[in-house]
Amino acid sequence: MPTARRTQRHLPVTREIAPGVRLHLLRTDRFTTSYCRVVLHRDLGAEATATAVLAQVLQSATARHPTNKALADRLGDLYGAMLHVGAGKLGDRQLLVGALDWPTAHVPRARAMLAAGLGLLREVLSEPKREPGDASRLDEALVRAELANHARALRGRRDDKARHALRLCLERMCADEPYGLDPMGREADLADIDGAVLAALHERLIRTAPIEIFLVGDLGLRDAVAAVRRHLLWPGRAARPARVPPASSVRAARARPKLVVEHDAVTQGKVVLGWRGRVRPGTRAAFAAELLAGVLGGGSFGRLFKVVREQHGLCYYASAGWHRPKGLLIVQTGVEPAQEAQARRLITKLTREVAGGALDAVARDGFLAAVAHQVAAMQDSPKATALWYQERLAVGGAPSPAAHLEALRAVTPAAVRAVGRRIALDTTVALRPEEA
Amino acid sequence: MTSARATTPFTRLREPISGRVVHLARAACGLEVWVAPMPGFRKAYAAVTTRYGSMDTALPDGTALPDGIAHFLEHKMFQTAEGDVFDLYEARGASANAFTTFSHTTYLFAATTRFAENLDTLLETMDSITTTAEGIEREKGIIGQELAMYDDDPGWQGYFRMLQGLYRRHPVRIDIGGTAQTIAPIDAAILQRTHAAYYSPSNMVLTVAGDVTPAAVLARVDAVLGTRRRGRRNRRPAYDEPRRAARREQRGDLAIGRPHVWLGLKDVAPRGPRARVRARIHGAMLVELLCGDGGMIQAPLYAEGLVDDSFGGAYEAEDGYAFAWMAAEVDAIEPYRRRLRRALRDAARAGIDPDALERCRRRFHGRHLRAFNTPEGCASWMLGVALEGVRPGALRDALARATPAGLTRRLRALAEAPQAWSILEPRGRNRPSS
Repeated sequence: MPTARRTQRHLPVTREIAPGVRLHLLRTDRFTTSYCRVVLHRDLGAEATATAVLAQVLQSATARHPTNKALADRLGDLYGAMLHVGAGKLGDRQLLVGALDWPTAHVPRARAMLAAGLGLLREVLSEPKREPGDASRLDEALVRAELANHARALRGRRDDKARHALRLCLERMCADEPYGLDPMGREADLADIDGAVLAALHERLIRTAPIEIFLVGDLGLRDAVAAVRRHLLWPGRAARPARVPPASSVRAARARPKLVVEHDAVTQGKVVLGWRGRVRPGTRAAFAAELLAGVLGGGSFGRLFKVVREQHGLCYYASAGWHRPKGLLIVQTGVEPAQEAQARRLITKLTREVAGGALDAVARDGFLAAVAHQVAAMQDSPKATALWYQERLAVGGAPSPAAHLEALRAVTPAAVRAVGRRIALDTTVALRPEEA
Repeated sequence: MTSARATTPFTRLREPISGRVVHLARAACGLEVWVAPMPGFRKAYAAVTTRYGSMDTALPDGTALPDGIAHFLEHKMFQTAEGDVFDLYEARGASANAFTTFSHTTYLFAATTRFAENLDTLLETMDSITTTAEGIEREKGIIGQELAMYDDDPGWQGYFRMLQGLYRRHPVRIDIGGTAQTIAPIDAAILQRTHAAYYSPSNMVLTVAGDVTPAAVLARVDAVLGTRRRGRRNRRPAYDEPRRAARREQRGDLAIGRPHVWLGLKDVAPRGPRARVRARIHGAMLVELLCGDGGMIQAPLYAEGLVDDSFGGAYEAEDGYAFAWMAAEVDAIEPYRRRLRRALRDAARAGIDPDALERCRRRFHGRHLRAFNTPEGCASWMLGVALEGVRPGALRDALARATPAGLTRRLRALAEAPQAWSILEPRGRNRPSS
């Protein structure tokens, strides 16, 4: 078991270092690289596509490193620093994330590496390449190229059939909610985006978006605050950050479940079933729902794996997950098309059983043991820890991963039954082979 | 102190880039044991690997094996007389998995508690196989669904079509999972014989990384597998593979948004572990210099809008084969192919720039360091060294020995190497019906 002291060291220390900018430091000397993740929060809505394209433009070039090659060379100079700029979603919010993982030990001139990495991250996020002679526009040639790349990426999403079916289910389930929107946006929006649009958006976001910075490395809080202020934080932040909508909103399932059938030239069919209910994150009901999903399909101990795959051999994978910010229970499987109806019936039956409080002991113990393992293993992964706190800060919930585990352990069959009565099937998506 | 040091069966080895110390011993039963103590890490990771993979298409006595049996055996190893081994791991909160490659099969777990019990289970599982006719038939259905999933995966399909174009006889051209037809005749007898031939301790490697002590790991090995030396190491035959490609082009169609195009370049297979390690690292550096961000091929094609983030490549080498590949999703096949050919010729003509090579060396240095951030990464490095039987400093040495002239020679040879294209084109229509 971990000592209390070690667990305490594992929790991040937080300071507000500028209006709307919070630094979360995870101090550790166990890793050969440092990791910094800068998260800008915004609403997920009309500007989702532009925000996603902006992320690609920022990742491709900066004012000082004006080509993809120049920026790649700079990352090479920093011993293969790994840069990621992208758009994601957290409940009903969109996130613009910039992250860097780079060596700060076991390399020549290691002392200078912390400043060099943070400085590069600032440059990437705050100093985009602009149109020559017109600071009010980002470089139009670069923007055109990334618009074309983004259009391709949006079309290419269909190639991964399991993810496509899941996306389709979330789109239909949450059709009039922000969560229904993919964080990459929509192809139809691309025509309205140019260098001027992105420059204005960029200016607004870096000035006003609430920002969370997660820094993992071998340095104390005072040094971390000083380093981030000096090397990472850009000038010109507004005195008050913009207001962003809550990340979480929940609602009941539609009165009559919807079946969406899509045909494609596939060999294996995909089925996604979405249940939902008014279950707010952080409540006792939410922990019961999470246990319900875990017992149903949180791993190979789950009922779906044991019955649908192992007993009946109907599929290769079958899993269930609880989407905390939205109160969704999502089941996914890949099935032989001729067996789809049988698989759906079996999945529905098993879901009803578990939602009725039938918590198979092996599945329950297996799920809780798996969560205990994840909580402990999180201490070895700064990125996993940062992601956990990123969600907790936005959505709420248990104050620490260990408290989260305790809340799950405390769930009773009666609590699962109670939450089971509150969720209902909303949408089923079936991706089937094309008809002859 | 002196006597303790004299009696320890472990050899201490130091990985020179990260400074990580690892311990190597040969257990009495013949199992090679590698342990990397990582104090402070909560998670410990262990993997047993047998030098047996999909390219081993016959038993040592020459009996032909059905395609896909290595992968099938991997699935069946989790079944024991007591039930599914996954249940045991899961009850202890450990996460377990396995995978089959061309050259080896690995069984692994990661745990934050009850490490010794999980290690016992891992070793016991490898030591015997329990099958029933009913279980084998059910597994055929499950693997059939797994294969069907790969049927729809453009990455998998494009890659194997490219290999079938590059290789005429070498078994690397065979899909690791086989097909529904090739696994159909698999029965208990052939699984038992295969297990007996390739799952002996002398043909396997145990790699452990985490907050563990080498002596405790070795004690568990002796207790579970015994102290009688068993089995022998798998010696692969020489592969009679012609130099030229089997087919210059393979085409297929799939439910994809735009064409996927793969180019394979058939290199001369290096002989011996040291040559293979160097070929693999220099080949990987070369592909990085060509296809990585800002690379000699990536940069111009990206600037011209012919490729996007989907463009990439790799270099692979094992017993009897070596090849480089480049793959991209493209709007139009022929303009991309013409431009890629020209870019490859231009790169070969220009040669390797010393500054670019230095940056590439730094990238590999940083990437290697990053691997030591996790027990899994550390164990993976140990396995690579163990399977090739080279020194821990082999990577550093190969990086140091890469010169602009040497890599330019290799680039020019690769540009002239036999080629095979694999092209997947979109098919089908997508129509929401309700």
